[in-house]
Amino acid sequence: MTRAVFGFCIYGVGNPYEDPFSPTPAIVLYTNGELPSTGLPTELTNLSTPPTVLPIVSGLPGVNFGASPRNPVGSGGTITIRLTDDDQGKLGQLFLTDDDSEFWQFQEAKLTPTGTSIKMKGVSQPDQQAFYIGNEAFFLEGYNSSNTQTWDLDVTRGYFGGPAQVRMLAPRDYSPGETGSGDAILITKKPNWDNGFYCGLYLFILDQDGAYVSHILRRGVVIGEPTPKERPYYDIQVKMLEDTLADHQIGESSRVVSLSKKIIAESVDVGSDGAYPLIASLRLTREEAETFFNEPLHTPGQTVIISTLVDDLKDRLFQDPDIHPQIVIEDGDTWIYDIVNLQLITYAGNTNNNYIQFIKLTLSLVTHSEGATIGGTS
Amino acid sequence: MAGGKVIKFLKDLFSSTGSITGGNNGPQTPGASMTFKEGWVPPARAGEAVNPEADPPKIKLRYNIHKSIADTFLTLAVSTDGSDTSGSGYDVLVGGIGAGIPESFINIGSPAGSALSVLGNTKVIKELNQILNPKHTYPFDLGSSVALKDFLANECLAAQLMLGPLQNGKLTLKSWVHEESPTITLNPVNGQTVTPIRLPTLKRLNMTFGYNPIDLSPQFQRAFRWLGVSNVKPEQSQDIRLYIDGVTAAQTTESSPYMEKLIRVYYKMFGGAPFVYPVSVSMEDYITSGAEFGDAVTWSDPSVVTPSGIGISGAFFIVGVDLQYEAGIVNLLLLENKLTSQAQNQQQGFISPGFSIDKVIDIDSTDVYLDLSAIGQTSAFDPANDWDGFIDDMITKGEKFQIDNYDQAPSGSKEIPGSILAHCQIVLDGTVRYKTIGSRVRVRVRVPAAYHRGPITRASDLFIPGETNLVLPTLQTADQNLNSTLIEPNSNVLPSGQGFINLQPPRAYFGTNFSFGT
Repeated sequence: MTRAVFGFCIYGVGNPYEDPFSPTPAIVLYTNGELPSTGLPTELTNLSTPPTVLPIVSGLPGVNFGASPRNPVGSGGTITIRLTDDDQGKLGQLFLTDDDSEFWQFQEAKLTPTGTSIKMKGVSQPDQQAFYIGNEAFFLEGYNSSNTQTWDLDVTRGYFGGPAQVRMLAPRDYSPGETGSGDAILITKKPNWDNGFYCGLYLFILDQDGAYVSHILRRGVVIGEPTPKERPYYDIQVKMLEDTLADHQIGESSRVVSLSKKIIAESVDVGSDGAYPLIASLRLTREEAETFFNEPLHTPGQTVIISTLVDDLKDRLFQDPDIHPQIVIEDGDTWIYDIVNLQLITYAGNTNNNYIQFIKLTLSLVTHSEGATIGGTS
Repeated sequence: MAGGKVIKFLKDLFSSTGSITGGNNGPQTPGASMTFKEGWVPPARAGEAVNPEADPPKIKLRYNIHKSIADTFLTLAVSTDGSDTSGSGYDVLVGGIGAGIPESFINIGSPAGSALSVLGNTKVIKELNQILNPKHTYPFDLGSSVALKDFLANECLAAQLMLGPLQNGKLTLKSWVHEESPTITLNPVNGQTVTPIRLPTLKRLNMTFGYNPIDLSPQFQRAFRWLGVSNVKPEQSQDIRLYIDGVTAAQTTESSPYMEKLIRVYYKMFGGAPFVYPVSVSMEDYITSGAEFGDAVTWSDPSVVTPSGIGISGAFFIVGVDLQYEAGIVNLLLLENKLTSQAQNQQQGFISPGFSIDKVIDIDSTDVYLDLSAIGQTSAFDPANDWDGFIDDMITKGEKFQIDNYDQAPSGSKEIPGSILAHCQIVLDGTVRYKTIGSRVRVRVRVPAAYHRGPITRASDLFIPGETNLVLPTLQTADQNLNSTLIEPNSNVLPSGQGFINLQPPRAYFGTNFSFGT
């Protein structure tokens, strides 16, 4: 005789019943019944630590998935998971944030998934505890003070499970006028639910002895902060992964950049129907370039373009020969250019100490709204 | 512009203030090089003087991605910053253009050693990539937000794919036009009453292709309307954008994989407002069977109401999965699978042998007697040899012909939902009155009562003499199957003595003669 146990975990969010200063990296499984913590699928073992099982799920949702050949992108919709808090309000202490939550600022333009050294800035000395950047939990293993209110941290990535991913500034999300320290990513001690933590919905099949036999899994993303309901309950909204993927927006209106004073046109083809720039160059300020590519080119708190970041962007922009970045210029007419080069240009202003930087895009004409083309491309 | 004179314009433009040095290494010592003055120079007037007062232009980024649908899907799904940290080659778009879904959440897998060994029903995306259509150029205008859903839905429609989650939680693409072997037999929970759900019918495919290089809008349009169908409502029409250019689209051989196949598949599956059936299985059965979305299954229910009468049995595929954890059941949504049956191994759309119905000899509540002429047959019809003895086999072996006319009324002028003609069977057995009269074949056609809703009282309920044709699909050889994009390379050869007759309303002959326009 087999039986089934439902399990729900939020990848990257810790255990509400553990001391925040000495948490284990275990994935927390909220279940609706007893479940052995051993013998479960290895995907639930995080940093060599088996999952922690907390049987506090009350009520079970149904999970739909529907598609058809005429509506081929299936939808799983949004469901609600209900958890039961204890009389100490531990769930609320973990889930609920407030404006007074202590935070620091991430002082890196970018952190790769394997990066374990980060610089942060804040008003207080960091505690050796778990913290959150985006939808990933980190654990502070140690730090050095580099200067006032700035620390270099050694961290463990992907602490409560969940994938370690690139963490970088998103210039498209800058507030208007923000170009300096305010660009930083916030590091918080509690989960910032705006960042969409991934979660898993498991159904474990157990044998007559209660041992794990098999399971099925659906994944989703937690939407918003868990909501207290008729104490002691918390409702957690989950949007299924296929919906999260499908709703992703390709392109953002903020990537349309209105240039200030720029020069374009280098090599011009003068034909019977007019003069068309075959090769053009475009100067972008740091802010314009960052907005245009949605890539950070500077360190928070500074304004200088970092050449290695430009090199890195260029490498990534042209790494795949099957992907061609283009630029659309609209000045009444429409011009389509291939981006053929990206370069950091630095030159001196009127004084030797006043360097000016810009990003130069070299462009090759593809077509023009009046019909000009190169190489027969249309 | 060919032959235009190319002149270097830098000298005129870069004329006064500042000096430029190349290099990416931060502030540098200014060097002696070109100087420039600022100001927007409208490209069309590049030969004119710099106009610093001109309004600055707006610029936006866009990408042309030249990949297959599967590669494009993966690129858009997993890209975060383009650094391709995992080395899989899919995180190659910068700036958060991709959805940033962790690769471990997607059933990417590995390519097979040989594309020929890939089964068409694979759920491994890298395997699927090996047998999908070649690369297309997908232009993405990043200046305006486009939901990935819209792009994916279109590409899935064009490539006959579905996107959904597997039992292991990973998302994948799944082709629904390939044969499953073996299929899974469902064991529904006891006592459930299955109530069919009607899907909207499909009467027209609107295809667009090519794209304007300026604004990326489609350049060409082609509408395929079932012949004899008029007054197509929006919900009865399906838009599909093909990312192929107009020249390719105009070439029959190149367009065939897209257009002919698409039309055949969609006509076959959705031409007659098909039903989907909600069927419940136990959670345990669902898990142990391994059935997942998109899978082909067999299912039968003697009590379900269908357009053909009471009871249903056959091949279906799963288009919906509803996990009811508390009840311990899984509600599956099944769509009758008219593509993966053996009969579908024959290619519709080819010029086929067929019968025309010359005369209705007699009719009663269940039986109809017809005179048929073999289309294109100039000599006496030989049932034992013509068409590989197809007719003779059907008669002597008691096989059945299948009529699939998707609820279209025989007159062809309008559609009658739920028509008795939907999916009924014609039975030829050893007792038929059968004889040849020149090129004519007279057969007794029996329509079993269970397969229609009411008595047949008029010949026009079924056929219009002189107009209605019975079209036999072309039988495919194994080699032909290999060349077919509809049939997976390792599909079974059509067994002798089985096949479809597609009864098409007059003017609705669906072969290589398409209807153009709306």
